[in-house]
Amino acid sequence: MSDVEFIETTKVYDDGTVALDSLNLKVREGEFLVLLGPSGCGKSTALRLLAGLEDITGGEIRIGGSRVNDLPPGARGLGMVFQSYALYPHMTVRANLAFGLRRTRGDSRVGEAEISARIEEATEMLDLHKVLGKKPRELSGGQQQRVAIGRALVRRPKVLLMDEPLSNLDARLRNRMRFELRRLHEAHGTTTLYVTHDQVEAMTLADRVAIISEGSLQQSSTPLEAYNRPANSFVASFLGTPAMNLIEGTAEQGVFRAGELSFALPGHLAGWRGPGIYGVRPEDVRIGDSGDVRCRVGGVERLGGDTIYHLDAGGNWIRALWRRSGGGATGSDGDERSEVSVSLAVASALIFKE
Amino acid sequence: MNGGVSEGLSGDVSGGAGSITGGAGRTGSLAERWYVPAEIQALRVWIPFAALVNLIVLAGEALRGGGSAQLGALGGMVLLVMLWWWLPDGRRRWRRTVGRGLAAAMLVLGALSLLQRDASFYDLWATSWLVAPSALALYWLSAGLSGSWCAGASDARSAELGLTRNRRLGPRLETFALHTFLLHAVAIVVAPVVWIVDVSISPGNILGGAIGDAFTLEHFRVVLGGETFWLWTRNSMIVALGTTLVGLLLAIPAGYAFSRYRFAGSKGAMFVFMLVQMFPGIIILVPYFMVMKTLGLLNTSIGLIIAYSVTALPLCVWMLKGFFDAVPRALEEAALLDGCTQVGVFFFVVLPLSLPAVAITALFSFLTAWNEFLLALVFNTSNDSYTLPVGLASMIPATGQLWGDFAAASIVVSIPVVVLFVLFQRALIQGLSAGGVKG
Repeated sequence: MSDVEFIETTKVYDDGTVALDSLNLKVREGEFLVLLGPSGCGKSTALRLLAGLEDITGGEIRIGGSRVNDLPPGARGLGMVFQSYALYPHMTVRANLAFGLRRTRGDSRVGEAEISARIEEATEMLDLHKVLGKKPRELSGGQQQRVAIGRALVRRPKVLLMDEPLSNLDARLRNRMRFELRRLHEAHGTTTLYVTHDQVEAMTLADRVAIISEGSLQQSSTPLEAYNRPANSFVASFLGTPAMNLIEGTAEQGVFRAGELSFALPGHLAGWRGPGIYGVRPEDVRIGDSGDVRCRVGGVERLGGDTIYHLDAGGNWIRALWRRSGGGATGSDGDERSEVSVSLAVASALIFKE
Repeated sequence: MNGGVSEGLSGDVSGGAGSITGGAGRTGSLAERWYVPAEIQALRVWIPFAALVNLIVLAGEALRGGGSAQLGALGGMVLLVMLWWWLPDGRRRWRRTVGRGLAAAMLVLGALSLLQRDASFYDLWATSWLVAPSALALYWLSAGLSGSWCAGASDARSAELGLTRNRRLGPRLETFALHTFLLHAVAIVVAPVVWIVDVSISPGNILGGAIGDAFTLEHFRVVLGGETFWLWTRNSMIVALGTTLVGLLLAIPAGYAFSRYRFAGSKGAMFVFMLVQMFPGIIILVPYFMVMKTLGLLNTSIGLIIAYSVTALPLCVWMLKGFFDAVPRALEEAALLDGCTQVGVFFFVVLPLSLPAVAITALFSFLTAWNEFLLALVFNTSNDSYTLPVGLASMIPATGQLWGDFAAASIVVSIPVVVLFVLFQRALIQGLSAGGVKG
């Protein structure tokens, strides 16, 4: 059993900062769960509490059903990949891999033969043959990354923890390692907790994503579910590039008003009464003659395949995304300062209380 | 064909430069206005240096009371300053004539003083600082490209060639000058060592005499054969090793704690450590003596070990804290997750990474204890409990100084220090530079 449970887990620092506020989250066995959120939201704190690197202020954490609040980090059966990799600089790669295994005592003691076998296995899996005898400083970033993963895996951890492991790599290597991480997970099936602020990593890697903001869990669901049906406006704005358009206003009798802007709500939202935040993704905004909202084009960002229009709709700024492949939002090209009509009442639109 | 090309080139250059001429009032191509032969540039720097050396020689001769040598140095200095003042500028031809006259006069002066002086190493050296600069100046002002430049006979083409030549010649002249300077610097450092070695191998307990005129090992025999020297060495070893051990045992945990943990007064304590370092040691000499007397630790190694460890501790803690600060916390966290205890983390990860710092801390403690004189003199009243520095000093009483024995003993005493430095050289450089990065 290697599931992880955060139960009302709270962390308050000495200076009164609440880093994590009553987190309730369950990571199922074999699941790849990504903790996603902006920097300083408490996602890393959650990971460090689980690892035992910080003391829990309130609530508890269970691994495989047993409470680990007061277990030392080494006894929790975890492997961790640090953002900086944290390879021991004075040891060779082989010694780095063996270090944790040599520290095991008692029943879980690992013999020398077993250590060699496990290192061989990790070497095979991560293609470390050429670097086993080298010191970490002689390795490239990608190699260091793989050694760090190997060091975490040779311990056969119940849960694998990763703290922004890709953020120190250049863009090309990051894309490759992202793919490799997913492949490794599928081969091993180790329960994995992965912390990142990068929504692309979250969308591509996660079985399930837990979005955290200001120490509180906002939503935990599959990535697509979070994208299509965000639980609140924070999740809606955090997932997706460019971010979802959020318009604060009031709905009455099927019409949504925000300042000078007003339009008829789409059918599925027509029953909404009172204040709300209307959300529509940029790729769903339709530019064309059929639109019922007149906008001025304030700016155009041409990215090649995609074009992003910044539109001024009665004092509200709206982003519209046009894809060349045609799957997108608009038919016509617009120039700056020209006037266009858009349609905001689309079937995928959402409305949030806050 | 060649000539045509070069004419075209120089014509172009001078034509182009013509339009921007005016600032300095000089005409000619860019190259012509910029070109000063590397030899002349070298002379501009070297002559003041040579004058300075002659001034030093002059001061030395005044102390020694050498009349004619004094005159030679004074004359040389004056001539060098004049030559520097009237160095050719590439336009005024009379400067070349004056410069050559001054250099020739200096050469004659040098030759005369060479005849006057003894043939000792020092005298040869002093005279060479008259002869060499004057000969070089005379040659460079007269011959070759620099000579014709001095004569004002340089045109655009030769200036361009000269600039190319400068790029090659300039660095060579610089290297030569630099090495001459470094040789002098080394000589200043090495001279006392050579002197003390000479005293130690000269017969009789006297200072002075020519370097390397006689050889005897009698002083080494006396020193190494006597019992007291070995007694002092034993005392010094016990005190120095004891200080190192106690110092490290206290400084390593303290440095780690100051680096990693926040506790009440941690900042204040580091400040006080620094403050204590700023008092001159002699202020606490009397209180120290009273304490040691009360505790009955006078004339004991323990007393000195305690005193030295405490003295060296602040700096050791600061050095180690700086180094421990540089060990990333993530490494310790990784080790914790790998199953280490807090103590294990320290011994398996932090300490191995900090070995260079530990090495310099050890060396520092050892040297503090090995070289210290004042406390050892005050705390020890009997000859049997002297450490080496106090013992050495006791060889030079007000009457009957045993200079030869003293010199021999000094050399023997400095051997362990030298050996330690050689052994720890690499760690020392690493440790010091790491500390430097931390600030």
